[in-house]
Amino acid sequence: MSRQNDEDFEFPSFLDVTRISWKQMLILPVIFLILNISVMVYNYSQTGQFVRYGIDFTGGTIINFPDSYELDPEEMAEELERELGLSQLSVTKGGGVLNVQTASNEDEILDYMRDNYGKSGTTDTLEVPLAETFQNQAPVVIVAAFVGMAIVVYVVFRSALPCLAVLVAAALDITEAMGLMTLFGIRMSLATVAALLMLIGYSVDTNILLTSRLLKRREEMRERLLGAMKTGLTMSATTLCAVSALYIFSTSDVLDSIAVVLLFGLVADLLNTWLFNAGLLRGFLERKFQLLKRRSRRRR
Amino acid sequence: MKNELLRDWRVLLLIAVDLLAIFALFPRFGVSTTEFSVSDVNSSLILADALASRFENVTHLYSISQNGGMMHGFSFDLESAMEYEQIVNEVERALSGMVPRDVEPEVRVSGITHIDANVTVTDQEAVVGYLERGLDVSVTWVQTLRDSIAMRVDRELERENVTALLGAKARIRDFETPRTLKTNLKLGIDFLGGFYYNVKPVGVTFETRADATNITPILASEFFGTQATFEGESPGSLVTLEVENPENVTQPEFMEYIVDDFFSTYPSLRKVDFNFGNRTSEVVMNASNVNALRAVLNRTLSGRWDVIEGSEEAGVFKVEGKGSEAPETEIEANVSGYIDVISYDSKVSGDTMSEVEKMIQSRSNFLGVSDLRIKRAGSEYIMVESPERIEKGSSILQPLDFEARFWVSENRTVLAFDSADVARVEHYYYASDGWAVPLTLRGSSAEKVRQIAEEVGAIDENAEVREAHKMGMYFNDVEVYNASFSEGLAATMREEPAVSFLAITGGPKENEDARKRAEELYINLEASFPTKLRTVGEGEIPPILGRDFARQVALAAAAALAGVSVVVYLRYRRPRLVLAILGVSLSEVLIILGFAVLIGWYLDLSSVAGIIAVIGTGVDHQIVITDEAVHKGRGRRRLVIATRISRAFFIIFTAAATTIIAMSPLAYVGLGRLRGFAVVTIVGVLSGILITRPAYGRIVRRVIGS
Repeated sequence: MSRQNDEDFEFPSFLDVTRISWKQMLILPVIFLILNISVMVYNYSQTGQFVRYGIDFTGGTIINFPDSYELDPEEMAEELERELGLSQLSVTKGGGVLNVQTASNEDEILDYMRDNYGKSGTTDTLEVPLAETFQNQAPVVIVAAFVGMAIVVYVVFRSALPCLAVLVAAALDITEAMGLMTLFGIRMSLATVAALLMLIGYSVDTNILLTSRLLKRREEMRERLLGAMKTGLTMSATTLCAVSALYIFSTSDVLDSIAVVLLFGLVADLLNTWLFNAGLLRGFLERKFQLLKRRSRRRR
Repeated sequence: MKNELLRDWRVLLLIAVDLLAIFALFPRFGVSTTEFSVSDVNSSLILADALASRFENVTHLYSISQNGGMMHGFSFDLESAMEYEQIVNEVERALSGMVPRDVEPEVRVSGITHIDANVTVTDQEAVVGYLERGLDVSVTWVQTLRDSIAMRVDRELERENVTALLGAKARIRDFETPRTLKTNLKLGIDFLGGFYYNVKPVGVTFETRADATNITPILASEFFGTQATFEGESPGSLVTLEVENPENVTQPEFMEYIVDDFFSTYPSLRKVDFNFGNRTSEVVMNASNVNALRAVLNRTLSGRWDVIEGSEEAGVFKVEGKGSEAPETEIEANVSGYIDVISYDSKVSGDTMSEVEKMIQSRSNFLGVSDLRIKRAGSEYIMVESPERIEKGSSILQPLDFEARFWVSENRTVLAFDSADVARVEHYYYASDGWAVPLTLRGSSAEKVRQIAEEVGAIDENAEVREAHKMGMYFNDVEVYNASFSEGLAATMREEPAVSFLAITGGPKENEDARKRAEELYINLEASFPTKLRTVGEGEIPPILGRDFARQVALAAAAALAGVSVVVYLRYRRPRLVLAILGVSLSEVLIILGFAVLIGWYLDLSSVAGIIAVIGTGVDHQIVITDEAVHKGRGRRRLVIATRISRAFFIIFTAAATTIIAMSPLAYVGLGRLRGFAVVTIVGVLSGILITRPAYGRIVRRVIGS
């Protein structure tokens, strides 16, 4: 077995954030945040909504075309999107019935299918039960989750700063993942909501690691920060690996969208934990240190 | 090293829980079983055979279908005379396991040793009980499907033996002795494919403040057309009003007609006393706040409104309007002046939701639709998932409108009665002129039907007149049957109201549509929904996608574990650590799946997302532990490995507690189909901090220490 001592593990110098000041550490995350918010604001100015909602939220119409054994759902989705210039289509098949879910344009689709394939379909309106429920309940759930997180972190650390750090990092991760979703045209669906919630777990893991290492250890600042970073980056690396595997090996839209949103969130989490949150905590500790020094000088 | 690990309680606990989970997942591992299904069950033959084991000359007399089961009449002889109690005991013993415990057989002694008995059974109970006794097996699982009964027994059986035992009593359909590893895990429609339907029970609720001393004078003034003022209130909710006498009204007129009219218009208020005065009269009534509120609802709002909760002292009540879609503004406009609306909700109450869920379940049982999953989606929608498509217009999700109407003229009909008038319904059967559902009308409705029949001429003495004013049966506005009243019924109804009717849904006996309509009518009246349901969304998850999906999940999981192993190896260069981390992660998946089986959870997409999240944070935490263990610190700060690992646990416990708290609101509210995600995450994180991570801490100590 290798007898390699872990202390020898080389920390790449380009990751050594202690070479820049804490204020400089904030620059990149802040730019990233501004970019993401701009994307969402731009989307708002264009569509009236900050993110793109999928059919789970917008509702629409389901058209059933019976006796369509020969049609391939994926090809049909592409063809309809291409020929009719539509988006937000979902085509599935079962028992020979082709189901087309669309936010609007059901007449165009019915006409197209009749003219080109000789299929006649029946329509069912899909209203928006979950969207309405989400609109009412989602804010409550999110606020309750954040309040609960704040209480736990406060009880453990007995100080307001780590609470704030953990909460802000989780909030930024989710916001930025949403911004990236908007940028890459990924629509908000139930699956992506689940993925956004998963981010809370990952965000909490890295940020509590950072916070407790920085506030509860007695080593040099550099050692504490870089030690935490080493652990944290390993954590993120394993998660990124697992999520990439999910993305590469699944062809299901649902799993793909979960994987992509997690990738976005994990990238955002790297910036927010190891630059933004670490920068803020470092600034706080350095000021506290200077204050202590000044006080002890005065006492002398 | 291994021996030492195996002596540590944390590691032992992990192994024990893993074994438990494996056992929960594959309970029949190594146990041989047989699965088969039977159809065409003839319960009368089964019971006759069972009775023949104790009695002589068993004869089957008749069978009547009743409430989803069958009632069979038998006669048989005893060898010698017995006490009545003893006979009943003997019958019960002969049939034990085949008849429901709570329904005693009806036994009549019709000779010294000649007995008649009525026994009610369902096919499932009869066949299961018969097989258990005849084959000396125990049936561990049974489900009645649309046209067969599927079951699993705890022993390997030969098909011939079962066939020989059953004979003509039932026909074996599928028969297999599964040798594959079958899991108990229930997969949701995300995996198996199926259909989902979102329905909304229609209705509104609002909260209101009602004060009888305020409401009653207003109602009285309106009704009498004169000034009415509140005079006093006494215990027992007695309200006294002073009412100006209407002009040109004498005392008896006012007292008998007008005041009584008032109280019959508002039946929730009760007259206690009336004192006619010179210019004004005194009306004393029993009017609690809630009854005053009922009077207002009756007066101002159309449809069915019920007070569902509230406090008489505070005068604040919650009102539910089932089937109403009135917006808040409309309700406010209607009740303004009487009561204030405090809050409004465009959904039915929780109780009504639960009742609708119950009714959907019982309807699906009636119709033999298997494996329906009914879930609350938020607080106003119910999501029904079914492996089969629920036909449009099927009674499971749609109340059937049933009406009986008289023909007034060539093109006009008038309502005789509808579902609301029906007090009781009995099981449908085939009568001489078609499939029939016996209905019993409410007393008041029967009188109403008689009056209408008389007016239109449906019970006229002249048969031609009766023929011109037939009664028609309508299902969702479609006429399914019509016929004139018979001479006998018409004659009876000219004298007194008829309470019992047969709703005929058409014939002949082979007409499957007519039989289905009879079944639906029966179900609709038997398990009636408290309110209308609106289907607001439906869709299909094709099974092909479902099967593919499961394969992809497995593939992705394997790839993810491989990726994680590579990173862990690159970081620590210790193969044993890789094995430990993989082993512990797999344990966590096992524990979650085992737990899912124990609580009967259906694994759906959001649960899979939860499992991914749990493995992700699990690996994260193991890396935190490992890093602390390998990080020795320098000089004076060198710490022993135990201290370092306990520092890691501080981080892990904090992170775990935070994640659990963050997921709790979601687990509570559910947000549609996301509850599975939250529950799995919480269970996984809990099992992580309680079971797997302490064990991992021990294992790492060994691996690093060596």
